[in-house]
Amino acid sequence: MAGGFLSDWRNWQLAVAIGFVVIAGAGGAFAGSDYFLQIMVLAAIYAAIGTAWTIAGGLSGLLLLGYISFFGLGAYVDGLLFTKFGVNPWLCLLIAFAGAGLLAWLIALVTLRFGLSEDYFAMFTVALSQVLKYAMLNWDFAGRATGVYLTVVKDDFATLSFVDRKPYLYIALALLVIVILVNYAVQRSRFGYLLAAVRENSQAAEALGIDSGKVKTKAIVLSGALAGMVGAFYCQFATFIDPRQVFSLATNFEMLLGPVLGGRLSIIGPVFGAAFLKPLQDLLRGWLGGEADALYLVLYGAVLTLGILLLPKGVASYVEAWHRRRYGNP
Amino acid sequence: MPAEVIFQSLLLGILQGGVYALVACGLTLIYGVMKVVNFAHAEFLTLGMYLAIAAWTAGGVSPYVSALFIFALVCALGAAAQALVIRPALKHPQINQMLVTIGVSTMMIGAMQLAWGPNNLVLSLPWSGATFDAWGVRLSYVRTIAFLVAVLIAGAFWLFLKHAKTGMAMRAASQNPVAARLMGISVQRVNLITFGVGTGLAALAGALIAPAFFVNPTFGTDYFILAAFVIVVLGTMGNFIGALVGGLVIGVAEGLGGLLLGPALRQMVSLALFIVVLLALPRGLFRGKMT
Repeated sequence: MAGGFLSDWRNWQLAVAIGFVVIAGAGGAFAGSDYFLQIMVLAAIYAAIGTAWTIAGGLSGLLLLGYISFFGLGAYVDGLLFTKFGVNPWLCLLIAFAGAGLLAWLIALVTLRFGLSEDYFAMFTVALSQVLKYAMLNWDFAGRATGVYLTVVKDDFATLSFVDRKPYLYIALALLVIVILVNYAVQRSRFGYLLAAVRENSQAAEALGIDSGKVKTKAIVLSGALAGMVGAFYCQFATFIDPRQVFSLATNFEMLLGPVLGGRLSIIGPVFGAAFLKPLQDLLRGWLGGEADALYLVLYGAVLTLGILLLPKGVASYVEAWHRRRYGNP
Repeated sequence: MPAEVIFQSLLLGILQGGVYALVACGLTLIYGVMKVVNFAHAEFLTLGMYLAIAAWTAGGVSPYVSALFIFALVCALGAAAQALVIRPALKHPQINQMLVTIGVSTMMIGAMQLAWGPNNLVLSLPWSGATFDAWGVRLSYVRTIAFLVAVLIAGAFWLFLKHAKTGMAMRAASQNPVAARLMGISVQRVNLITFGVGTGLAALAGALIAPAFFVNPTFGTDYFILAAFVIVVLGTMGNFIGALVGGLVIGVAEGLGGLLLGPALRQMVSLALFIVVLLALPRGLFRGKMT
């Protein structure tokens, strides 16, 4: 077999993505400043969210535009269960996974069953994220606008709380690897081929006996559940969440920028997209300073608009073309 | 609860609904003609408010005069945005189209913040706070005028769509772009006009309500965009009359809902309605018919 393992585009992406994560982890070990680590952890979180999003937003072709609902829900599951009931945060990660998956299932139940067209589905998901925001803003138990604070006094792996920032980086990268592996496994599996069939031609897939609603439901549940888990981790890392932050539409679109510009059918797209864009955002913000927040918005909006117009299929499509030539695949 | 209070909320809801309708009819037309959900729509409303304030503070021009110029100016701006970024995106996947309008929205919020700062501004006419008595309810002149003008303009626009050549071309392009092109209609030109007029109407609505609200760069996103979405979905996306009816329905529902649940949950009412509408009437009040 010419080229062996790497001649398959998905295998090649897996190897490159995991290799990159390992390098990032090794690099993080030498990182001196907390500021730098902070950016790295956030980039890893964005990469994981982006990679999880592509399962529904890319592979299944759903217009899952309001994705932050799952992330925010996961963050609140962890924040509330940990601070109010003392539930172990590692367990919270799993509960957030299940909770966000349940939310995704409910969304699929109401939207797909009623045959909402793609535009309506997109608007519905955006509106839902804001419903959750207003619900949290008005819920006394969840701290209303002030949100939830976690107090961390000492490093404790058992409760996923560290004063030092470095352990968070390793855990964030571990979560990213999990999401990458799930995405890879989906693409390699029979389910992945069903997704491709539904995405490329839903009617033809139906004619072949594929239940496209069921396939899409599975995709959004898996995608949402993973985002919930990452959201729970984010709460542990940030030690402070509030509704305007974890259900922010601006953040929502920032999270989707990586996979869309990187390539929403790829694995390397969301990973490298976030690794490049998230630090760029933070550096731009830091460089322009708090006063020039407006200038940042103008620049960021321009990058978003131009990027999408110039790279409609994402950067990964060019890499894929190169890969095809390199390994001589048809 | 006294009937008087309910009546007051009802009237205020109708007043708000008229403005909603004017904002939503542009959004629904843009969707109808181009099948693009314009996430930047509310930013054009905010821009209209800022321009009205600028005209008032710089030259003492009343918003009811400057509104016309603002409409024309924003029409041109919207058409330029359509030509530069929306048109190239039309051949791309839907998610890209939506994200492009989100990019425009982000740029506009940033630009407005650069120009006018992040803090609340207000256009205080000498009679901004004046009210009159209508059937035992106190109504503000500003809100009433905004409602009447909004309804008038929406009506005039409806006549334009029905009888003017350009209006008929817009309806044709929205119903069947291919057939419209075969009939010799330049769909590209129609797209340009629709986006310009649609965003211009939002700015016009902004100028009309400028004396009644504090404005900051995210005003439109905070208070109008979700309501506008609910309205166009309720009225069937692309349906002009649907947007007008939907505007009034949502205005009243928010007014009464705010009364029952308290002002903090006012926004929840339209969002909850959105979900109910999507579930109960996924194709809107007009069963999926456009215009």
